Amino acid sequence: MKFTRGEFCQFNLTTRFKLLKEFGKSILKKKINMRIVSVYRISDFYVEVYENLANHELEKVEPVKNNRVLEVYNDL
Amino acid sequence: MRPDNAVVETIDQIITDGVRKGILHLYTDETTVNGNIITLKGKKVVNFGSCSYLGLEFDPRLKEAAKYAIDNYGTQFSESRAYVSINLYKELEELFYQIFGAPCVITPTTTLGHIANIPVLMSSRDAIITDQQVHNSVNTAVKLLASSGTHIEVLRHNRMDLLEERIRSLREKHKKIWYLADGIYSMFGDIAPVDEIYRLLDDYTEFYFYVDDAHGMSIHGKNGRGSVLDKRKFHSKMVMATSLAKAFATGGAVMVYPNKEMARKVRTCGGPLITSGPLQPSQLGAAVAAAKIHLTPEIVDMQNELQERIKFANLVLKKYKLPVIAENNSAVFFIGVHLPKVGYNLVRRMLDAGYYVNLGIFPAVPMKNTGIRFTITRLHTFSQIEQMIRTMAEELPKALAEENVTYEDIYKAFKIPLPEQQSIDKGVASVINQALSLKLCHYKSIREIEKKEWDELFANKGTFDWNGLQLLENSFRHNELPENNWKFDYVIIKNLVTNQPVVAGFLTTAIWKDDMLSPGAVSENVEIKRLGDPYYFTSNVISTGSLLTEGEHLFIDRTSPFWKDAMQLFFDQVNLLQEKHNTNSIVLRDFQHVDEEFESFLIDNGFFKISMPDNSIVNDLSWNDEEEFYRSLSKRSRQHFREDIKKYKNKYEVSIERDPVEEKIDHWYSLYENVKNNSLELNTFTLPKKLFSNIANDPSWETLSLKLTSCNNSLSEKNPVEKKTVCVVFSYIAGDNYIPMIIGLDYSYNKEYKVYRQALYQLVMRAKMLGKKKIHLGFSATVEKKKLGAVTFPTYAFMQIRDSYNAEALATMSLMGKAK
Repeated sequence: MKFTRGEFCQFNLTTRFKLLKEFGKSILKKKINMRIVSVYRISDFYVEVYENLANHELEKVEPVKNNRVLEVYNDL
Repeated sequence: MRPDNAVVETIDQIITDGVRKGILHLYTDETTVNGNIITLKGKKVVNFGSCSYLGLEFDPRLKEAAKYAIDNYGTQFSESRAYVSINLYKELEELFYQIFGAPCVITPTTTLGHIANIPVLMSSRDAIITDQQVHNSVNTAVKLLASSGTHIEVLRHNRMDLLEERIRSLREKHKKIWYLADGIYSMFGDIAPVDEIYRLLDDYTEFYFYVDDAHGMSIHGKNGRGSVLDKRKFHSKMVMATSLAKAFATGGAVMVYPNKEMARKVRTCGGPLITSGPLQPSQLGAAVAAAKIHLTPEIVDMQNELQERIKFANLVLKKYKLPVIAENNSAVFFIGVHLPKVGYNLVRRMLDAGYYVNLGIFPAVPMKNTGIRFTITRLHTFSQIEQMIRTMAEELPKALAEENVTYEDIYKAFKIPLPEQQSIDKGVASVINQALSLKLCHYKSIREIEKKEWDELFANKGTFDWNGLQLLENSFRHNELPENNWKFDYVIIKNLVTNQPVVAGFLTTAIWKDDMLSPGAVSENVEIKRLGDPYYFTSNVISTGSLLTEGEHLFIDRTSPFWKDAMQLFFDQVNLLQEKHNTNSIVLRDFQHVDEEFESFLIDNGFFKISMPDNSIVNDLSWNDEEEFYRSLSKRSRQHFREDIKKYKNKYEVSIERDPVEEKIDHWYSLYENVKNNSLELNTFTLPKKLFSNIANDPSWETLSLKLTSCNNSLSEKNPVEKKTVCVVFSYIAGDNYIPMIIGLDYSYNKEYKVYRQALYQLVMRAKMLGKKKIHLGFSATVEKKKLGAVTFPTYAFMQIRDSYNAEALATMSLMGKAK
C-alpha cells in the first residue's frame, strides 16, 4: 500500500516505526553515539529513525526532506 | 405489517442458509487459541470478528487471576446474590466505583442487566422512547414493561430534533421521559450524539437517558469508562449499562447509576439479581485484574495502540474505496454489500482468502442493508489490516458481478452518494441478461398488451385478466384524491429462443396505509391521528397486483432453466420503477405455495417473508342441490346452517341487479362505506365511487343484492331511496371462478337477520347456478367462510422496505396494544 508523507505523519512515533517495519524497507542502520540511526524507504519517500539506546525510546521517526540523506549518512 | 411467525421463519431461513454455506455457527478447530489466528474448517484465518478490542483476554494477569479465583472459590459459588455473594464481587464493585466515579451493580450479562434495570427504573407513569437501532437486548427488557401500560415509542435513529419534539409533547402527561440508545451501535459502528443528548438532559427536567455502551467500554475514556463518558462527567439523569464481555475481556456486565439509591433499588429489586445465578469466580477474578489495569496509565497506552489501528483501517478503507457506512473512531466497521446473497458470497471469499469477517444481516440490519461487519483489535498488525481490506476490495467486485449487483445498488440502498469512479460497472446486469437471451418488455397500460397473450397467463386466476385490469385502470386514474390514483406497470420477460414468457405480472404503485395489516386496535389509534393528517403513517408502495385484486399475481415458469435469471431481471425492473415512482416498499403478494428454493432465492435478494391473512376458497361445488350442499357440510356447520342461514332465508329477496340508476349506486356505496369503516383489521383507504359505477356497467362483474322482505323496523323510513337493500356484493366472473370482491352491509339488521351469513350462502348458490367450479371468498372472516365449506390457505407476501421506521413504530404500538 502506498502512503503519502501526510498520511504517514498522522500516526504517532510508535505506529510510524511499526508501519516502517511492516511496509517499508530498511536502507541503512548505524550506531551514532548513544543512538541507532536508521533510514527506511516506504512508498516513494525516506524516513529517518532515531532510537535512544539509553532509554530505548524512539526520538524521531520523520520523513526526510532531503533525499540525499543516504549520502550524508554514508559519509559519516 | 403483521410479522407473526413469518419473521422467525425468515430468520431461520437466513441463518440456516448461512450455516449451510459454511459461514455461520462455526467452531474453531484448535484446542487452544492464543491470538488472532484461528482455524476454521481446517483453514487458518485471521479473526476480524472479535469484540475483545484490547486483546486483554490473553493478558497473563487476567489468566492468573481467573485461575487463582477458581483455586480459592471453586468453579461457581452457586447462591443467589439476594443471599450471599463472594467478596470478589465487593472488591470489583469498589474498583468500578473508582473507574466510573459512580455507584455500580454487576450483573451476569448486559441483557440481564437491562432486565434488572428497566422494569425497576421506569414506571407506568413514564414514557419510553427507544432509538430505532438500539440493541435488541434493550428492547427485550422494554417489552417487559408493555404489560404495565407504559407508553413506548420508537425514534428515528439519532434524530435529536425529533427527540426534542417528543420530549416537549410527552412532558405534560408523563413523569419522566426516557430515551434508550447505544453509545456505539453494534452493527454499523456509528455513535450516539451524546453532546446533544446532554443538552436535552440539562434543558428538560423530565428527560432521562438510558445508554448501553457495550462497544465503548475500555477502549474510550479515562480508565476505559467508555465512549459516552469520554471527556464528559456522569450526568445526574443518566443510567449506563456496559459489557465486560467485550474489550474488558472477562464476563458479565456493569450497570452504573447517578446515585446510590438508584443502585440500591436495582440491586434489591432487579429480577435477575434476585433469581439468576451469579457471575463465576473465575470471571470475577479476571475482572478484578482487568479493572486494576484500567486504573493504571497502561490502559491509555492500550487505547492509543488500538486507536492508531482504527485510524489506519479508516485510511486503508479510503484508499481502496470500499463502501464504508460510518467512519469514526469506533472499532466496529461495516461495509455495505446491499443484498444477503452478496454478503454470503463475500464472507465465503474472505474465508477462502484467510480472513474471518462477520456477516451483518437481517434481523440485525434491514434486508437490503446487508453488509460485512469487521472489528479491529490491538492484536492486529498493520499489515494484517491492510491485507484484509485489500482482499475485500479485490473480492467485492467479483462477488457483485457473480450476484448481478452493482456498486450503485449498494450506495442507493444505504442512501449514500455514489463516488464517481464506481459508476462504471452499471452495465454488468444488461451484459449478463443479453447473454442469457431473455427479453424484458415493460408496458404502462393493459391496452398495450394483446388480450390473448395476457389472458393465456392470467385468465382464471383472479380479477386481473385483461378485462379486469382495464376496469381497474379506468377506475384508478384521474381521481381527485391521491390514494385513488394508481400507477400501473406490466412486465413480461420472455425467453428469446422460445418466445415463451418466463416471468410476467403487473404492478401498481399506490399510497398504502402502513397499518393495513396491523391489529385493529392499532389502526383505531392511527385513524384518530389521521383526522388531522389523512396521510399519517402512509407510504408509497409498489406491489405486484393491487389493493383490489387477490390471487397469483406473478406468473413464473419454474420449469424454465432461466426462471431465476428472469426473476433477477424482474427485480431490476421493479427497482427502477421504485426509483421512478419514489416508493418506500416493494411487495410481492399472494404466494400460497412457497417452497424452500423459492423462499431462499427471495431472501437472498433482500426480501423478507410476511404472513398475509388466510385466503378462503370454496373449491368443491360438485353437489347438485341445497340438500346435497347441506349434507356436504360438517355436523357443526350443518347446525350453523340450520340456525343462522336456513331460518332466515325466506326473509330475503335475492337478485342480480342490472343497469342501476345513480341513486341506487349511491346507496350501495353507502353500504360499502359501512363495511369499510368497520374493517380496521384490513385497513385501507376508501375506494372511489367511480369504481362502483364502472363495476355496475361492466359485463364481467355482477351485483348481487339482498333485500329484506319483512322485518321489525320500517325500512322505508330508514332508507327512502333503496328501500330494502341491506347487503350488496360485487363479484367478478372469470372462467370457472366466481370472485366476490366488495361487500356492502347495513349493520343495523345484521345481528337480527344474520345478513352477512346469508350473503355468503347466497354467493355459494349463485356460483353453483352459474356452473362455476370455485368461489374465491378472499381474506378475513375465515370462520364464517369455513362454515360454508371454504378451505383456507395460508398466504404470504415478500417485502423490501427502504425505511422501516413506520413499521417499527407500528410494531411497538401493537406490542402496547397486546399488553393492554
